[in-house]
Amino acid sequence: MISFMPWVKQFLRDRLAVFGLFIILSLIFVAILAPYLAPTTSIYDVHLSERLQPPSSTHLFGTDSQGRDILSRVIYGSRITIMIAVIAIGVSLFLGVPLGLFAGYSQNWLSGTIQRISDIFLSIPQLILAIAIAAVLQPSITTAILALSLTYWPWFSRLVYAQARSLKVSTFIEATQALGASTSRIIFLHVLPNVITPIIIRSTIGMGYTILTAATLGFLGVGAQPPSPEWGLTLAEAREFLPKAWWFALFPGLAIFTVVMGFNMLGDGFRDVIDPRLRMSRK
Amino acid sequence: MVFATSSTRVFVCRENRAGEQFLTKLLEVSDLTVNFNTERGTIYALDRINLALDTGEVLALVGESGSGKTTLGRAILNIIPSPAGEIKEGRILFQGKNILEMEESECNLLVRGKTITLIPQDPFGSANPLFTIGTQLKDLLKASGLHEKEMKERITTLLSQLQLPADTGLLRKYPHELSGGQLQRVMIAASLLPNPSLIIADEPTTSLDVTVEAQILLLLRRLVKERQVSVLYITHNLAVASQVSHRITVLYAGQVMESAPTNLFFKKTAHPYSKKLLQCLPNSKGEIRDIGGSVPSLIHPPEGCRFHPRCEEAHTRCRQEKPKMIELELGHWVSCHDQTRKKGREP
Amino acid sequence: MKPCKRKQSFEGVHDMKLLIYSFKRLFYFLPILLCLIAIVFFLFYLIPADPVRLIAGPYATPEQTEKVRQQYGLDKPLHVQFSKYLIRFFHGDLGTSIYTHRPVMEDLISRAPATLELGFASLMGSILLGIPVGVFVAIRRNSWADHLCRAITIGGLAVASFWLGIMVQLYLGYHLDLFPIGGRITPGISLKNLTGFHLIDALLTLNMKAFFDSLLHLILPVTTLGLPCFATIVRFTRGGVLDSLKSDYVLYEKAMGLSRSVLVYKYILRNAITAPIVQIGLLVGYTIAGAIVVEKVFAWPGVGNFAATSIIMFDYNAILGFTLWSGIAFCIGTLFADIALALVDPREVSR
Repeated sequence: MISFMPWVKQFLRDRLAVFGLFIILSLIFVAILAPYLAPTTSIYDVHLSERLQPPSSTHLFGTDSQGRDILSRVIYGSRITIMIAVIAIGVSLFLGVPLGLFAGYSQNWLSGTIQRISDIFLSIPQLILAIAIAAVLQPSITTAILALSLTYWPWFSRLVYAQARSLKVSTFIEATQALGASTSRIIFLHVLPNVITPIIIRSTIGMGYTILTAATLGFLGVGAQPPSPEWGLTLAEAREFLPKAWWFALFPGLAIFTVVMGFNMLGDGFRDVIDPRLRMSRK
Repeated sequence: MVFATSSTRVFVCRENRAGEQFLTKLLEVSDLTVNFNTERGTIYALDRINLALDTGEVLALVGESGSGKTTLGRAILNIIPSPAGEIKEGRILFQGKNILEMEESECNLLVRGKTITLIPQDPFGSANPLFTIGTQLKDLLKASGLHEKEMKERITTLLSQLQLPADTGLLRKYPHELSGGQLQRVMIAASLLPNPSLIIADEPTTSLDVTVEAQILLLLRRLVKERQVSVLYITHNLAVASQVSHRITVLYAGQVMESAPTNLFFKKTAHPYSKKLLQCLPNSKGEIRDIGGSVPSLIHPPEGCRFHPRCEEAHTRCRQEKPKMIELELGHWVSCHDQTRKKGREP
Repeated sequence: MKPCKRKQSFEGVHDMKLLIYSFKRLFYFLPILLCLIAIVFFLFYLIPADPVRLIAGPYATPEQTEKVRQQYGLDKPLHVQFSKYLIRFFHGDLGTSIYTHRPVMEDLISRAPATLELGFASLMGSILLGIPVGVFVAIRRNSWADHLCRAITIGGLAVASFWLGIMVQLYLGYHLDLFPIGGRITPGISLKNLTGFHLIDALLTLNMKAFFDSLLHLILPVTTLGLPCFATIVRFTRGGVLDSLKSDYVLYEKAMGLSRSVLVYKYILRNAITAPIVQIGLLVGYTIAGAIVVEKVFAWPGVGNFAATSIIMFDYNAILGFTLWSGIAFCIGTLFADIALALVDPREVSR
C-alpha cells in the first residue's frame, strides 16, 4: 500500500494549505454546532422594532431589515453552504466520473458522443446555464443544486477521460491485459487510483467555485428563496439598505470570501503536494 | 588494439598529438570542485578535477551517468544554477583567463556562444519550439556584429556544408517539423556559426539512431579538421570516443581516473576502472564482462578514491587518500595508488 | 551515406496548416451552436407555464393566442417545432420579451455595446497589467512582491464579484466619493451615439468631457469584473515563466550567450504566455457571466443587467435568448483564444 506520511508531512509544511484546512474545518464545526454557537436559534422570527440596528453587544453583526440577528443567520447559512457544496459536487462526481471512465476506456461511438456532450456543456459559461435551468424550473435551493450539478459534471468527466485515455494506451496497462486481467479489474485497480488525485484537487477547488456560483444564484433570485439565511440571498436583500446598513452587506460577503478562500488554499495545497508526482507519472 | 563497437564496425585508434608542446593550453581546469545543495543533503558532484585541452584537439570525456560529465561541461560555461549549485574551489582558464572570475555580463558577451559553444544532448528539448530555425540561428549571431546579409550568407554556407540546404525553406521551419538527425545537424551548425575556439558537445549522438549517429560523427571529424576547433566531447560510449577523439579522459563519480591519448588509452590502459570499461565492450571473441556493484551516491561518496568499493586492486590507502595524478609516460596520466606504487613513484 | 533529398518544396507549410486549423475550429463551432439551440429549446419546454401564453403575452385575446399557437406550430410534433425554432433563430427571431414587449434580439443588440465595452475593458486591463506583473513576480521569486501577489491571486479568485462590487461602491464610491456609484455616464452630459461605445464615440466627436466622465464610470465596474481575470492571468503567467526558466531550451539559450534582454523579452515571454492564453479563452466566458451581477450592482445598462431583470421578471424568452447569446459569445471568444494560441505555439496546428 502507498504510504501517506511523506505527503502529509509536506502538506503540513505549506502554511497556506494548513490555514485553508483550518478554515474548512471551522466551517464544518460551525455548521454542525450551529444551534449551540448562534446567539439565537429563532432566525426566522421577525422583530420589526429591532430592524437595521448596527453591530452592538447584543447583536455582534447587527440586525437585518426584518430585525433578525445577522450573526445567527450567517452561522445557520453555513449549513446551507456546506449542503450545497457537498451535494452539488457529489452529484457531479457521481455523473462525471463513471461517464469519463467509460468514455476514456472504451473506444466506441458512445464514448465519442459523451465527449461531445460534455464539450457542449462546457461551451456555455456555467453560471449562465445554471441560471437558465434554475429559472425555468421553480427557483429554490433544490433547483439550484440540480442546476449546479448538471453544469459541473463535465469538468470531472473530461479530467477522468484524459487520464483514462492516456492510461489505456500506456505500456503497463497493455502488460496487465497481456497477463489476462479483466477490464473491470484493470479499471478499479489501476486506472482509478491514478485518477483519484486529480479528482480530489478538482473537487476541492470545485467546492469553492460552486459556493460562489450558488451565492450568485441566490443573489440573482434563482437560488435560495426568502426567508432562507443563504449568504448570497442576504446580500441581495442588503443592497436596498445601503449605504446606511453597511453591516448587513459586509458580514455575509465576508463569510463567502473566507470559505471560498479556504477551499482554494486547500486545493492549491493538495496540488502542490500531489502534482510533482503527477508530473513524473505523466512522463 | 582492435575491438568491436556498438555499430559493429572495427576501429583502429588515431594518432595523438601529445608530442607537440604549447605555451598555454586553450582550456585548463584546475582543482575544480562543485557541490549542489539540496534538501536531501549536499551532492559532491565534482572533486578536484584537473583537465586540459589544446587548440584543435578533441578530448573525449567518458563517464557513466552520474559521473559529473554534464556538470563539468556546464561549469566551463559557468551556467551552473546559482543558489543550488556552488563552485567550491578551482580555476577554469580559457585562453589564459579564469572564466569563474569573469563578470557575468562579460562572460555572456565574450565567451558563451562566441568563443565557447554548446551542442546539446537532446535537440528537441534544447531548440525553442516556438521559434523558427532561422530566427534562432540569427539571434545566436546577433552579438557577432555582422550585417543581416552576412549573417544569412554564413548560415546558408554552413548549413549546406552540413547537407542541410537552406533553400528548401529550412529556415522557416519549426524544430518539431524536422527529424532528429536534421535538427541535431542544425544544432551543430549553430555551434559552429560564431567560429568558436571550443565546442562542448554534450552527448550529441545519444538520442539518435545508430546510422544517423555514424553520419554525424563523420561530419564532426571532418569539420574539426577543417576548422581546427577544439571539442570537449562528452559521452558514455567508449566506442564513439575512439572514433572522434585525440585524447580520452575517464571520469568516475566526480573524479578523474585516467587521461590519455586515445591510442595509448586502448593499448596501454592503466586505471582499473578504465580496464573494466573496456571489458564491457565485446572483445574479438565476442565476450562481455560487467563491473560488479553500482555507481555510488554522491551525497555520501566513498572516501579517498571513489572507485575503491568496486576495485579489485584496492588496498587500505585507496580508502583513505585520493590518489594524485601521475604521468606514466608522455601525456598519459592516471590517478591510482596501485599504478603509482607499480611505477615506483612513491614519495 | 547521403540523406535522401525531399523533392517537394517546404515553403509555407506551417502557414497552410494554420489556415486549415482555423477553418477546422470554425466548422467545429457549427455543431456546437446547433446543440446549444437544442438545449435552450429543450429548456423552453420545461417551463411549467403555458408557452403560448408566454409568447403571446398576458394581454392577448383568445384569438391572438390561437394565432400564435398556429404560427409557432405549438400543436405540431416536437421535431417540427424544433425545426421551426431553428428557422426562427436563423432569422434572428428569439421571441418577444414579456417585460419590454420588444423582440429579444432587439433588446440584446441595443444593449450589447455597453457590455462589450465593459467586458473588453476588463479583459484588456487585466491582460495588460497581469502579464507584466506575472513576469515580474516570477523573476523575483519569493520576494515580498511575490508573496503579495500570491495573496492577491488567492483572494481575487475567492471574492464574490457582487460583494466586491457592493463594497467597492460603498467605500470608494459613496464614502470616499472617488468614483461615481453607477451608470455609464452622468446624466446631463450629452454624447452622440455612433458606435455605442462611449469611449470611442467620445474620441470620435472630440468630446473630452464625455470621455473622462465615461472613463470614471468605467473604473469601478472594470475593477470588480477584472479582478479575478487579473488574478488568473498573473498566476498563469508566473507559472509559465517559472516553467520556462527550468526548461532545457532556456538552459541552451543561456549557454549560447543570448543577451538577457533578448532572452527574457523574446524567448521566455513567448514560452510563458501559452498558459495564460488558454485561460483567456475561459475568462471570456467568465466575463460574460460575471457581467450579469456586476452590471446589476452598478446599474450598467448592458446585456447582463437585462438578463438580471429578466430573471426576476420570469421573462423566459429573454432568459433563454440571453443564454443563447452567451453561448455564442463564449464560443467566439474561445475560437479567438485558440487561434491566438496557434499563432504563438506552432505545435498546436499539428496536434
